[in-house]
Amino acid sequence: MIELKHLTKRWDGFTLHDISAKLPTGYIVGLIGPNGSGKTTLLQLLLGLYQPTAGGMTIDGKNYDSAECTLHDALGFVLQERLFDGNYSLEENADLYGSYYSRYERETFRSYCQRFGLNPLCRYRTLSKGEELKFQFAFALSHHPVWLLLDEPTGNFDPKFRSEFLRLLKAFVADENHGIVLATHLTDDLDRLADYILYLEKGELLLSMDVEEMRQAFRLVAGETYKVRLLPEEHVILRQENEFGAKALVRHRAYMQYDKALHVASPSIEELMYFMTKRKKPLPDFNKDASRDTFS
Amino acid sequence: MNRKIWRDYWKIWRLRQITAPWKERAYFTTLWMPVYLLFVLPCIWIETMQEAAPVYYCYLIPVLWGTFTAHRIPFGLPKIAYLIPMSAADRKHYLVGMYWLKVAIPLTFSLAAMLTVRFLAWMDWYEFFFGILMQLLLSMVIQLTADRLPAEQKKGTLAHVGAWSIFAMCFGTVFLATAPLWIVIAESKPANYRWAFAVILCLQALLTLKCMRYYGALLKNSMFYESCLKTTVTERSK
Repeated sequence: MIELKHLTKRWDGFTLHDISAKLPTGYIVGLIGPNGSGKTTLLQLLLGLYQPTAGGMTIDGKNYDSAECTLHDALGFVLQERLFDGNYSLEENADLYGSYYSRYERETFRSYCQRFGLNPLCRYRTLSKGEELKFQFAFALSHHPVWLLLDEPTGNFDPKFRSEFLRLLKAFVADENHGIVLATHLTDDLDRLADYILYLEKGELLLSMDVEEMRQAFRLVAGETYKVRLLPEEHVILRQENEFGAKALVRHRAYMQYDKALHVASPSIEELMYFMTKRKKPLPDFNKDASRDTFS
Repeated sequence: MNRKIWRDYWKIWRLRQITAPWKERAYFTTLWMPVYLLFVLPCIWIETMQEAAPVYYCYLIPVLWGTFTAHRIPFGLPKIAYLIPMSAADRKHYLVGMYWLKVAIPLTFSLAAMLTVRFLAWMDWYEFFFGILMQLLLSMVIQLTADRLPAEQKKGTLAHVGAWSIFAMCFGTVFLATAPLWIVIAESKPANYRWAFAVILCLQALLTLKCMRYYGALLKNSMFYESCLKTTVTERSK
């Protein structure tokens, strides 16, 4: 389990403020939010690159102060940067850095390269952006981590590999001993994959709930403008109107009734994120309690 | 960890690594020493300098070796070193171990070559010991500064100007100590030529001390990614 307790980080004019969440293994956690919301900062904290300014975190009961090597051994990563040595081949890079991991296997790496259409003998500097991310993914899987931390990996993948990638992620968590934290803008991937959502905005964790709970907690209501305007204001997150009608994201309650002429549906993660980023008023306090077990 | 240090050191002697500085447009690293070696080549044909030519190459080839290794294995660590299972203590061990390996290997070569030259009676014991000491100090500074020091400072600041001054003085002393003119002076052996050599050595020692203090702080910061970022202008990634 990854446990974040009032995690705060001040860095270069930006503050990640009071993040609390519990993320058990066996789930895919989607980390979403607009640009500059702190997704990468949170991932950097989870990877041990940054130290928290306040609060703390543990991964499987250990923290970076006392068990840095053990934690890094259990973490696989795919990041947007070029991390490896451009003058070496993929296999040389994998062997060079894989030697630090206790469970690295060259044969596993080679099999993933073959599966992903990579030549392990080609020079790292010759890779395109998409190939480079595939290589990072192959390397991450080859040392059998417990957690995978992925920073926007899918944007550069072709559609064929994206399906393969999503399949591999599902297979990774299937035995419930592994977990994934996936930061992405491509929320339609999360609709298919994610079990749990963390929504960040301006360094604050505004939503922390599982996907089913999210689908129950919100409704996207569309129809004639005057009917949409009749919805109780305290429950409306955002209403958008145009010449054809209106659409509103609504905090749903079990007792709420909707006009039969309105179209009411559970929002997708993309729709949720769209309305969240466009809203002007503050959200109600959904999940600020760190002690709440959100997977009960 | 020691095995990894040796492994990483010998990896740079592959052909593609040797040609990499040229491809990366690190012209200073690739050109200045070969140009200087050619500059002192006339020693071989000038009768009064023929005995001095091997002495030159005893100094200059280790400097060339050291400059190349300093470029291919810079003092800091790439970002991935903070992501793989390496503790802060491991990173410090790696940095310090690699640094001393990069100093020791060309110095060993230099020592062997200079011993040979000494036993051929082409230099006396004073020149030998002065030479070894200067080589040590040069190697220590080159391994810290050859590709890094000026890049660490923001352009236009006093620190940037100071960094370039250290860099220029470091390599300037190589020229001062080994220029053909110096050998002419040594050949005529005026009474105070060893004192002049000693002054250069003291200057080199002061430079070395300055660099070691600066890089001591950098070493501490390099143990953690965040502190490394705070003290460097550019991220170190390949």
